[in-house]
Amino acid sequence: MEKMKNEKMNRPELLYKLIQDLKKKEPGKEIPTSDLLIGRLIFDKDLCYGCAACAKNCPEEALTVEDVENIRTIFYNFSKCAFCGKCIRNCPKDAISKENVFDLPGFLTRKTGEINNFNLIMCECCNEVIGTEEQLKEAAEDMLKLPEFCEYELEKLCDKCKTKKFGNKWFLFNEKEKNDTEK
Amino acid sequence: MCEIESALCKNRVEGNSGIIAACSKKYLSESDCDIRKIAMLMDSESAGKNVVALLSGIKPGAGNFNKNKIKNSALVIGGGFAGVHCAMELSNLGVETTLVEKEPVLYELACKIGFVFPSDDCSLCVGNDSDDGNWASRKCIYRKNFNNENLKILNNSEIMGLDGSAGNFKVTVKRKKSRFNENCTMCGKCVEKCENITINQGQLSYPLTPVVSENCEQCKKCMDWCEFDAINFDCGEEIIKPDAGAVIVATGGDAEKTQRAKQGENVITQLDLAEMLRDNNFDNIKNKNVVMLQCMDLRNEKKNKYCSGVCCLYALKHAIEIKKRFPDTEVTICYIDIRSTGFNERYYDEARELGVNFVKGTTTPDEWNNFNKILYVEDQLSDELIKLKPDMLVLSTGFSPDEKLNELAEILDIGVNEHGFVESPHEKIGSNLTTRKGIFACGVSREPKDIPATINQAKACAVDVFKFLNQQNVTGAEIDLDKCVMCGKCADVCPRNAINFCEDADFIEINKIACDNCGTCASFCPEFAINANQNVDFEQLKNIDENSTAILYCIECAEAGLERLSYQGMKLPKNYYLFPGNCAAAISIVDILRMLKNFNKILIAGCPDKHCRSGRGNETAQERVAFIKELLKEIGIAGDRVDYTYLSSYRTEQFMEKVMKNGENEK
Repeated sequence: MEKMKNEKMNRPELLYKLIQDLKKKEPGKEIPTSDLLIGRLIFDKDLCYGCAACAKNCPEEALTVEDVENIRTIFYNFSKCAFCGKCIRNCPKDAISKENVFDLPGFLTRKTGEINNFNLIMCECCNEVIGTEEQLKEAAEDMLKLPEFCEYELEKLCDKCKTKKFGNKWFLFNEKEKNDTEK
Repeated sequence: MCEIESALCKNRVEGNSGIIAACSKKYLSESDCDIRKIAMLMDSESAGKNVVALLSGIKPGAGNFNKNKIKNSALVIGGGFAGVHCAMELSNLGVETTLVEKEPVLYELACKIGFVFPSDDCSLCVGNDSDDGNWASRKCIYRKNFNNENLKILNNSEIMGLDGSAGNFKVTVKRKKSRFNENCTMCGKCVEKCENITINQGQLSYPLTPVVSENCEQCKKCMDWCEFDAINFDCGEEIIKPDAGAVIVATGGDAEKTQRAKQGENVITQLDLAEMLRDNNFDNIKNKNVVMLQCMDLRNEKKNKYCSGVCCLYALKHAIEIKKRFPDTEVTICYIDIRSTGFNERYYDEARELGVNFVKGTTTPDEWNNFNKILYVEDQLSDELIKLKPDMLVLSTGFSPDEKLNELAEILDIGVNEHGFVESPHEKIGSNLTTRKGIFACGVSREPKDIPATINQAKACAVDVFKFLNQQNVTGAEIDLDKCVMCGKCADVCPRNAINFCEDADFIEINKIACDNCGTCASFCPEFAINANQNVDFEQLKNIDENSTAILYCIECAEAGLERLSYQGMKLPKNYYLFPGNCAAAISIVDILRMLKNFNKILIAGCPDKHCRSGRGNETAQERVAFIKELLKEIGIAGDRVDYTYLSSYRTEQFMEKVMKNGENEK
């Protein structure tokens, strides 16, 4: 409705600032919201396998991912969340859902909470991150369902190293499979 | 990183690019895709080219991005006076028109009526079109060239669903296939032999086709009788999906309901009487005592509070017709008021001259049945109880909306008023609009009216639709793509499906034809990237008294309400400030909190229920206000500083109440 004075500030930040300016006491309760406004996000820790698609897609940096040594941690900061629902749409495991509750005390603390952490698997050759343990486990299970066993997939190598080792055979295989499925 | 790499990283194209899709599907997950892409580029030039080709040739979201073009087509629902005239005009204007009728034939009601006022001629004549050069000449529906190449008639059809947005609707129509195919010559052999097959309405119907009743036992004997192989029992249903730039609701009034109103023997409706007069079937009327009861179920506190506007006239028309043919027949009209407006007053004068009795006062047919066929009517002019002994009781039942209109309104997402007719956003200048852009309404589905008015409105509606389909400078909300973060929230909240958003292709665009300019998207955008042409300048309001109240109102209903109140002499206190906005939904939570710094109270005035031009703007505003009230309570501020009220020209009471309450509190 109105042109913002400070154009750099986005809606969640402005909301935080306005509530801080107006508030006369510390809030203690969560507030129910409607479906349209969306509220807090809920994460299903068991379903999540740490692909970090949510963090990569988050436009407001409310969801972030950190890889420290062999541990990947996913963080959620409610105060930055714009409730756009992009993470919900992008989660391959449908592990994120919304709850019609606005966590006002949580919003005002501006704290980043840890959602989940995973062990990472590194490339045996160059020590690059390949994926989380759960991801590779699931990929290996998928592998068994394939019509033709593919040795490349079980190697604990990153893509670059795989290409170095096997040439471009491995992704040509993928292409072949793609053509098969299209047929 | 080279250009291609950055393009690859920026555009997550897994869904579109075949190779990458295959990789991501079979291998790990999205997190690995970027690595894979780069690996491909590094080690295989051809693969790189492949990806580039795929990227440049992306057809995101199955290539459905030409939505902004308006389809030059329209879909008319209902094949009565309004629907037929509207469809004929539109097809003559070059619009591809589909006419959907739930019955096997068009003009069902018109066929029953026979002759009509004010011209006292056959109901089936339609206006001539310009081909003959003579606009005023009459032409029967059978002689009129109905085979306009732009006009497609779907009989036996119903609307099942509506997708898309204004300018590009996709309508799902379910059509029952007819048992009679085009070989039928209307020879009538099957009609003679089988009770369940009739030629509709004494051969007055379009298109000409026999009609099978529900009692058909499917014995299939008619197939043997037919010499032309015109009957097939393998009919079933088909789903048709016509395109429609605009949809016109012309479902008309309920003729069935008048039939249901019949109670007891020798009680008929005016529609039955019209059929008798049409067929010269006078056995039950000739030289007998006929009593007509006006305003059945109408102008009644308990049932319908409106006047149907046509019943007085058709009662007079029928009374005159009977009196002219059989002067010895006693005709009595029991009325509340005779409403023969305009030049139609001549019907009343003529009826008086011919000796039709008028009794001011009416009753119900129940009384007649209870009192042994004697009807007692209290004459309000003489204060006497008049005893009538009718042989035939004729009920003047008026229009009620089609019984399926409510269902249809749900499908089309349009508003319905308290009487069950289609709601208009502006009764005066937009009487053939509905609360949804791109959907129009005409005829009795809007309000009860007579045939000339229906035809006039249908033609006016055709012009409105034509204008809509050929609009040029469209205004609507705009997205600043530099600020946009592609979160897709706007596409989620848009009540009109007007935002084309493809996440995989990083594509977002507002379809301005469908856009209502309500500003709902702008009020949710986390980056303030949408400009919905809301032009309130808060900068001017720096020196505002702390006790003042802001009234944020929508420029549709609420503005009309404020105008009405100002005519009534309402003066707002000095410290009340008015802010117009396109819709109540455009006022975001942040806006309200921001205004709370300057204003003591904030009142948001939106449209009454089901009257919102943008579908659910008033509901969104109410949800927000409820949320803010809770939020304010939590942070220690009185929740009643923010309030919502509906306001329109005819519903001002809640607004007045809230303004008065505010005023008192301040004192």
